[in-house]
Amino acid sequence: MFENWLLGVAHLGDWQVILAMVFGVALGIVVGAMPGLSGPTGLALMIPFTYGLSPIASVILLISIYVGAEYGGSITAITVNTPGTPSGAITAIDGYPLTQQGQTGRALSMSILSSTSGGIFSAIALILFSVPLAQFAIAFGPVQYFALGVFGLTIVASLVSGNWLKGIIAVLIGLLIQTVGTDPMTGAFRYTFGQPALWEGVSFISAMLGLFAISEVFRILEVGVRSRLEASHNFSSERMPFREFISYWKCLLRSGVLGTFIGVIPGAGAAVGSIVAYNEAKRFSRHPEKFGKGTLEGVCASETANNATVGGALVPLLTLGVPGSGSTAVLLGALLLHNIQPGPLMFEDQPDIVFGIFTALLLANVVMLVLGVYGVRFWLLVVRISPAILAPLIFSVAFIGAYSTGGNIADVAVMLVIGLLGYLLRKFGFPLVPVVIGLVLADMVEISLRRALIISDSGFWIFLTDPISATLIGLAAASLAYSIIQDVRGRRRTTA
Amino acid sequence: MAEQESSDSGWRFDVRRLSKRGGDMIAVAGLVVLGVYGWIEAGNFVEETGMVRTLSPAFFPRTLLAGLVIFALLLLINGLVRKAASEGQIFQQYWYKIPVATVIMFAQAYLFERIGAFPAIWLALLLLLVLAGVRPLKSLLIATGFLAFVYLFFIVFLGVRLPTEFLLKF
Repeated sequence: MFENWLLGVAHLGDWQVILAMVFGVALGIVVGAMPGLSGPTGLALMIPFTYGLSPIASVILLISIYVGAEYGGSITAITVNTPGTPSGAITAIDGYPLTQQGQTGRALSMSILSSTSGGIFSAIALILFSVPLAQFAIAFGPVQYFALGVFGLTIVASLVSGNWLKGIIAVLIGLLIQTVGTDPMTGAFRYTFGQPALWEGVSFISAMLGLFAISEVFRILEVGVRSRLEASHNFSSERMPFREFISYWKCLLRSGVLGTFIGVIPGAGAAVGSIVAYNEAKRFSRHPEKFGKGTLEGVCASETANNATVGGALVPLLTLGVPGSGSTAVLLGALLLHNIQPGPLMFEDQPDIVFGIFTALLLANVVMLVLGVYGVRFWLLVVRISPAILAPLIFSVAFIGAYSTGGNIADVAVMLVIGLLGYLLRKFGFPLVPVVIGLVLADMVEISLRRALIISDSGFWIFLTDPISATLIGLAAASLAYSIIQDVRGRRRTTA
Repeated sequence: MAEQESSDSGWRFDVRRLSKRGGDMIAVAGLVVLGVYGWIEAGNFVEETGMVRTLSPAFFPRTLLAGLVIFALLLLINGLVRKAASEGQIFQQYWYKIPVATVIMFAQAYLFERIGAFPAIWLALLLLLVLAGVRPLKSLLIATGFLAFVYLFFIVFLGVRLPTEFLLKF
């Protein structure tokens, strides 16, 4: 264990890794702060340009973007009441009233300090829980992996969208996209239409860029030019004393635990973490009447929880290879592109990568603290770029990214087609996160299913006779049943 | 379904009037067509016969396609039952910019290796900026400035290989 830590820390002696971390956190803050852009978009745009970096530097760059993006949303939420992320909307409930009361500096201090605390708390939880979980999962075979894949897909589809039917259809579309190309078990061509460019399947990078970046460009163009963010207040630069911050330790601890736990659940994500932590903070508060009118406790709860979901979300990704959110799905794809296969075997075969990630996650939060404390005015200047300018620039960067991965214009065409598909899916109310998770889990689900059926004498019953598989499939069925019950209740309320 | 209205000049189609329920109907129709087409196409997969017993390459896609059609039909039934939940419009004011932007994007892809990366990027970026509502002079400056960024950041710093044959002719 100690040797593994040394291996992980040793990576930090590399200037490329340190630079990747600082650049990644800075980029993440900008992406998170910009309304319309999201963590997955920032991650997808950067993946093609990580090829020139070492695998560990690439992974650390992407994880740093993820960390920064979860915090960035609070800056514009507090200062101009325009949250850059869904969880930032919860921060804005109390953050913006604090700005109106001339307490911007204190609100921003609370935001960055509690984000850092939440991030470090969840990183420690990740370190404590992932190693034993990986040791448990090492015995998994195709039967358990198929059940795990079905569990991940079902729970994401039913929780992420609010419309379980559209969530399930989105998952199926993601899985189907990945069937294009050469069959991994027989070598037969599937849906290639005689095009050699499709023999290797749909490029993951092109799919990510299309779904997140190009569909976002279309959305910005369709909505029309919006005036750039303008602040209506002069921001106070008064900072909160550290002693005062520490007095919120109960809120920090409670929100950290909730955020980490919710982060582990596939499909729940940072927004759910913030909402739950905010409600609990209000319930336990001595002054619940102040919530919504500008209380630092509200900012503390929301920001601690949303950054705590990062470490939580990395637990199933690193130990089982199953992503639970858009950002972790893009991360999984990026890891696979660098020949890093997340899962229990990674802890045995590539401990330097695992412990490098642990160390980097802890340090990225410290970098975020420094950049957050000293760079607020700079981030506010950057995010004032008009969306009308931003959208065409995103397209150009995505275009270069898709082309540069293989030097093939067919990858660009795939990106554009999938971008159009993503735009239409968004328009018709289908969530994109299940599509992405379907895409990254398709190979695992198909190969595990076919291998399990080949070795099984009882056909599909093998998935119900194995205890781990039966438990996972039972949980998947329960999450689906829960969504259906919620749907029926909602319908009754509407008709009542 | 998209509503059509008659006017003195004949039928007029306005995509902005497409309701969410209409959108669901179109989505269901598209998914069913995709499901049926995919199922038929899967019959053309050529399977290599070998010693190892394995499932057909069409097995997994056909399972997914069957699920897709079943859930699409459930969506249709759900939409018919829950009328109130599917009200509201889908497309926004500037929807017509999407097909124009798509043409510009595919044109850049077509021209990229033919005239070179820099002229193709510059031209498409300029057109997209103007389409997005940025003033022409400002668009010109941004598009030209972006080329400098592409050269310095992508080519010099990251070592990305882009087709630059067009520039080498001069």
